[in-house]
Amino acid sequence: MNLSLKNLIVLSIALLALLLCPLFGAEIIPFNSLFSTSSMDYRIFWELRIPRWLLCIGVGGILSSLGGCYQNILRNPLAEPYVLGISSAVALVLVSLDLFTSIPPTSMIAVILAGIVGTLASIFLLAMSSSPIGIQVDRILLSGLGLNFVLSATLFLLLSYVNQQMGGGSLRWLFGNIPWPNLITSASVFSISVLLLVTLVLFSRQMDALTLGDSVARTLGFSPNLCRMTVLVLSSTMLAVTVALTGSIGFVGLVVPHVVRLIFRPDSTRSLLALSYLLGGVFLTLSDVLSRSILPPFEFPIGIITTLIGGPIFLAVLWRR
Amino acid sequence: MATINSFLSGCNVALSTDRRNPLHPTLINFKFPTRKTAALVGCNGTGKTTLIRAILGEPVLKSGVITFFENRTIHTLPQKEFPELVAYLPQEQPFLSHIAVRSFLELAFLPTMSVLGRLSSAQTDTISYYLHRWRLASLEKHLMGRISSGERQKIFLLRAFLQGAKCLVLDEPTNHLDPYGKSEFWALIEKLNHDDRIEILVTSHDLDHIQKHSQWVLALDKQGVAFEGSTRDFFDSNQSKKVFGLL
Amino acid sequence: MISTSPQVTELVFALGKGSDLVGTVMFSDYPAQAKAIPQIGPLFTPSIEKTLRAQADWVLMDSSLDQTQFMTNLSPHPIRTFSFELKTARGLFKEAERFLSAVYDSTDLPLIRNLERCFQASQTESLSGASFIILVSTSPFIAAGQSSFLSNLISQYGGRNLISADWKQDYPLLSEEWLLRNPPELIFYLAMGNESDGIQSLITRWWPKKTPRFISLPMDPFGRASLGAIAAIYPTVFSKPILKCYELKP
Repeated sequence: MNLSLKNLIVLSIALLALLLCPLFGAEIIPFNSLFSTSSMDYRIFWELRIPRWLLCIGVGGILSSLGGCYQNILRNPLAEPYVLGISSAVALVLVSLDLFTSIPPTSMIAVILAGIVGTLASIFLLAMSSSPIGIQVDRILLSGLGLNFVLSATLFLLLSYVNQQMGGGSLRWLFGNIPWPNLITSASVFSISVLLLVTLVLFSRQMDALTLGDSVARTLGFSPNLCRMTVLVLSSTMLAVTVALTGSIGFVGLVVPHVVRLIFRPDSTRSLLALSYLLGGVFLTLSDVLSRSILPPFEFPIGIITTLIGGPIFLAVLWRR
Repeated sequence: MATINSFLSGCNVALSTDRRNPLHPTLINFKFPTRKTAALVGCNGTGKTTLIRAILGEPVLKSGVITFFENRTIHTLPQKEFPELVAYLPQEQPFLSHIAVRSFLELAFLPTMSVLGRLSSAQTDTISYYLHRWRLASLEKHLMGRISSGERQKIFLLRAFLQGAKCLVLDEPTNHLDPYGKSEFWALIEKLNHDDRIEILVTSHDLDHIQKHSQWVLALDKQGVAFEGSTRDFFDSNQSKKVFGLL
Repeated sequence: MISTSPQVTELVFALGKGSDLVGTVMFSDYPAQAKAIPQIGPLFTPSIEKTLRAQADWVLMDSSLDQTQFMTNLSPHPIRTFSFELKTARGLFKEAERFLSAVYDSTDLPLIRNLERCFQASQTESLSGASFIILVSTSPFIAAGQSSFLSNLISQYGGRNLISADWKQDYPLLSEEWLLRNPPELIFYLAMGNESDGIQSLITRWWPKKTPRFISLPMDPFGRASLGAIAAIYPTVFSKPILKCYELKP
């Protein structure tokens, strides 16, 4: 990647913003109170804010790097992680679970079930898009869209009939919700997200080949079908887990890769994925801080903030092109 | 050691896009001699691109065998042995418009790149050398989306060449070029065949250029093979006019 | 009569006029007899057709639901409507009175007077300004604002909702951090099942010396504005038996 001065400055600003985030929230924690270990500020900083901060980085990172991946694999600049309907499938299953067994969506069982649903849904989609001559990329996108429509409609139907308290209510499925996790949960999510990034980077050469078209990718010794299948199934599992924990947070996976391309002009998929992860983490963390700082103690649903910020940014990116 | 006479041959080939109905009523046989640029011609719809796809190992071969250099059968070849054998320039080549020309060319070395995507200094030098030799050095830092289509087509060709394959397959590469661009491109193809000793198969409608720059012709029509032989025979015997329905 | 809200259905039954109901909406499960009444549609959009077919004299509405569409559809027809405003405990009694006099022309007020007296009597105990918060869910973190029925009910006993009155929403989204910095003395949680254990242990860990008192409010009857909630709040909060004077006529 181009290590120009401009890029370094942008990256430094982003990292600095990221590191300062935990100081902000319903109240601003002054830096010096971090040294008095018995103060309320200290406790809030380490027990509440840092875990939430880690979770935001992990989730924002996954959504953005997956967005970059999907845009590559599905050959469509409008692709983003939720476009294939995985999030709707997970939401539907978890709301039904809560409805019939009163198991809340954030419990361990629900999260594991979500992972399984995600994997199965992606396999189903791939099966629907396969033909004798291999997997047809356009069909993946179309099947996913169709699946998304049907599942979302069913989900909304269910949500409108069901008691508002059920499944955390419609709010978290429509706009996402960042919980206050404990350190173990957020550290796990963060570590797994980094693992996923590393895995995707291992596939980045194959995705580079895909940019040349499937036929040429084959002559370069790669298997486009295998690459797509593996990336889709792996990413769907992780995506399903994030949806179980945070609901669907829109725009992050769509906007961040485009902004990365505009600012950094990465010359390889590897750089695109890594930068998307970083900027995505920053974006979600900043949005989360904003959601809690605008009108404390009120907390805006995270999806609203990301859409309000992401929407205009997306339009700006389009306009610049 | 027996000398190899043909770089690409097909024996009793039947093509099919749906795995059931063959494209042509007769079987296709061909044998492209080494050291001769081969041209694949025929009206639209006669199966040229399908034959190309079969040559590249895609599952459009209903029956028959396609062999490279008389001993490498394409359909039993493991995927990772492709890069050294055949490079491809498709009719519509997708590309990322926001990356620099040099970064695009580096993709030619993908088969040998490590996960970290580092090129060896030899590979970097090779890119510089050929950019210079093909007189494209000025384009090095330009974005792929900002160069003219003629220049871009040459970059695509350079990418395919840098792959280091023994054969180059080009599907209607001069379709969108102006007459000057066409001449330049065909001159490049000839140079590749002569000086760099790459075996070449081109599909094209540029009859003038085919006559000037190729030495072997395989012509297809709706029945199957309409003609196979030297370019001179093709154009001398009016076969060319017959194939294109001009007679 | 037709009722377009489960709360209203329950109130009508409590006032002894349940037998006059010819139609209710979905989820009208209280009291048990209400389940037998034919349903004329889902919660927010009862079927106009079924409403008219039932040939009721009155349609009972609930101001806490958004029924503007239904009202617009109903207006050309010559059917009378009565809208209940069940926002506060005292308001509930007043609305009951207003209902009985409008629909039944009756001054059968002793029942209501008894209930009001009972309510008054239960206010011997007071929370003395203790701060409280009512949690409706933890993920997202939602509390009941001052404009909600439950909040008003508990305030009647001297409690003070930590969510200030400027919050116009009935159920605002909260930041857990704020709650941990300003823990109330009482935390009510409404039917949260297993999630409540999480929040309880979190707060107990944070405030081992000043742990708030946790009080569970089961969905039945506290999930809606009803006489049942009014009757049950006193025994729930003060751990006393339910007052005999609340025994309602079937």
